[in-house]
Amino acid sequence: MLNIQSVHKKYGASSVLNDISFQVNPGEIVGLVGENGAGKSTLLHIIATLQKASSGTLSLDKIPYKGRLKTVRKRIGFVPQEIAIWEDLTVEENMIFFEKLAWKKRSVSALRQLCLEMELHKWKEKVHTLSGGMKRKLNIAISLIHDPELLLLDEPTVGIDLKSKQEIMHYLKKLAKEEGKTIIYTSHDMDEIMNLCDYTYCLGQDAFYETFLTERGQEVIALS
Amino acid sequence: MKATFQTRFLFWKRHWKSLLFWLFFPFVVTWFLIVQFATLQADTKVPVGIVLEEDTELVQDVVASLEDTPHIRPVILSEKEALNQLQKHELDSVFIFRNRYEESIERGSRNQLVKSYQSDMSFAYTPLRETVISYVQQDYSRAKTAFVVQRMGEAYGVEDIWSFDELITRSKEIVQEQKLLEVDFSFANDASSKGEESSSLLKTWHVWALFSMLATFMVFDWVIKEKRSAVAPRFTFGRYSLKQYLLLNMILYTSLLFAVDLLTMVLFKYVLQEAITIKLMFTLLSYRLLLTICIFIFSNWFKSTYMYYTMAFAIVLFVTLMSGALIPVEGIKAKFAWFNYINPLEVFLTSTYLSVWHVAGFVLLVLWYVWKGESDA
Repeated sequence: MLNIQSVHKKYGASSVLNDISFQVNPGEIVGLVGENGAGKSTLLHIIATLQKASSGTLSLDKIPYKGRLKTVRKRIGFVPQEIAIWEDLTVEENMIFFEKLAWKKRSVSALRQLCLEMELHKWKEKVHTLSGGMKRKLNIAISLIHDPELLLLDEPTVGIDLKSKQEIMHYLKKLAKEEGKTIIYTSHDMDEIMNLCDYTYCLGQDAFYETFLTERGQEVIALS
Repeated sequence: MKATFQTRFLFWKRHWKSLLFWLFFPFVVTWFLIVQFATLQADTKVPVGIVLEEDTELVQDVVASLEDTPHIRPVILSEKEALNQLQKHELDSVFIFRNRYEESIERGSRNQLVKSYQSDMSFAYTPLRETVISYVQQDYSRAKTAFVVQRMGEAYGVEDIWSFDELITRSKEIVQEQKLLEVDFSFANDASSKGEESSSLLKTWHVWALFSMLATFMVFDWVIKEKRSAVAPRFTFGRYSLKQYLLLNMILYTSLLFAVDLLTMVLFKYVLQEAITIKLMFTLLSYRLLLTICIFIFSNWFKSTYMYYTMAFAIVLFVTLMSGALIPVEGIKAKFAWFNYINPLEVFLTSTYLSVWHVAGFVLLVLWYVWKGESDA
């Protein structure tokens, strides 16, 4: 379970996150929405330990972030908005590269299976020859090599075709329901949020997203 | 380290052509330049026609001495061909070692031993004539001495007197053993430079040092490409932090480059007859560490490879001009004592093992490693 208590984030005098508190249970897929600049990526980066909160406490499965970052990080998978893969290498080489540096060892066949589960079949192809959808799938697959309990996805389906989007969302649902992974998902695509997420946290002062999603039957919780 | 090697090998496998190019670039360019320079130097030597009317040991010794003389290129020809080439100004001058040269020397006669020709364009005739005369005079003096020693032996009734040939051979041995013709020049109160000269590296390694610096800059662009890539945040969730990954790779590259340095040393022995010594190995190791540590730290400052390449070329050009590896900078060194300390090639040129750059590089490396980035939670 991810537990966030009274998290604040300031950049100089400017406050981005104010007293954010929430919990996410294992097996849940949670959406994180808000207008540009509302602090979605900042909050995601704080949960991912890539940025430090100005104040507040975080814990994952009762393991506090403070003083135990290494332990927490082993349990987190982070899918950045940018496609974070080696373009010069093949799909296979990318998977092997990150497996060698990962906490958990996996065989080449297990890595291949992971890709196949995501409908990523071009194992020997160089990444720069792949479509946007394939690259996005690989971007997610790499984040799952060490079998994390918490998966954080920062707009993971930007600029890809509908079929690839559907395949990715199908896989994420499977991860949550069958493997009990906790997933936090940010996106500007409300169809995606409604299709995928069990409920949604809304950041920022603008009530547009909250109203939009509530009207369409989505459970929405305002965070600030 | 095994995992780092395995991940690095994936890149090396993909980019083996460019890696191989830069690894052997210093060797190939140095080899090419040294060979070309030697050819050019040979072409700029004064061609001298040598005609041998007799083929005795004494005459061959003189020819060998002329061949060893800097700036002279003796060409052995027949008299007719030599004079023909002199007329066409293909030779500066012609020296004919007359028949019975050895016999005349042994008899103590100095007359009509060598006949010489010059043309209206023989600009080096006078110094060449003096050089030949000095070698003939040396042979004559040696023969004369042997003759006198023999006469003295006979006069004083020495029973086991040496033969003429034995005396000549022994005389040559003494010259070799005692290096009678080698002179150390030094200013008053200054230590002789003899020892330093004998241990200093040859020009081949000076040229190599500069191109090796350029190649190391080019090879180390991986730091910028990988540190600034979108992949960088992923290291937060792996076994190694980005800094550990970069540092381990730096060690890996240092090992690879040093292995190539040692291979280069062996190749230079075969193609350029350079000596292989333990001291040279340690000097190479010291220089390799200096290059990789400093260039690694340097590359960490850059966000774009374009700026990095520009600065790298500028630095190599500056070092080429200021280090003394190619262009003598003795005047600057004498006037500004601190110049030696800031010259990154000093450690290599003087075959020492430690410089201010080693210390600075190591301190900066430690600071870089312990400094926590702003984004680190």
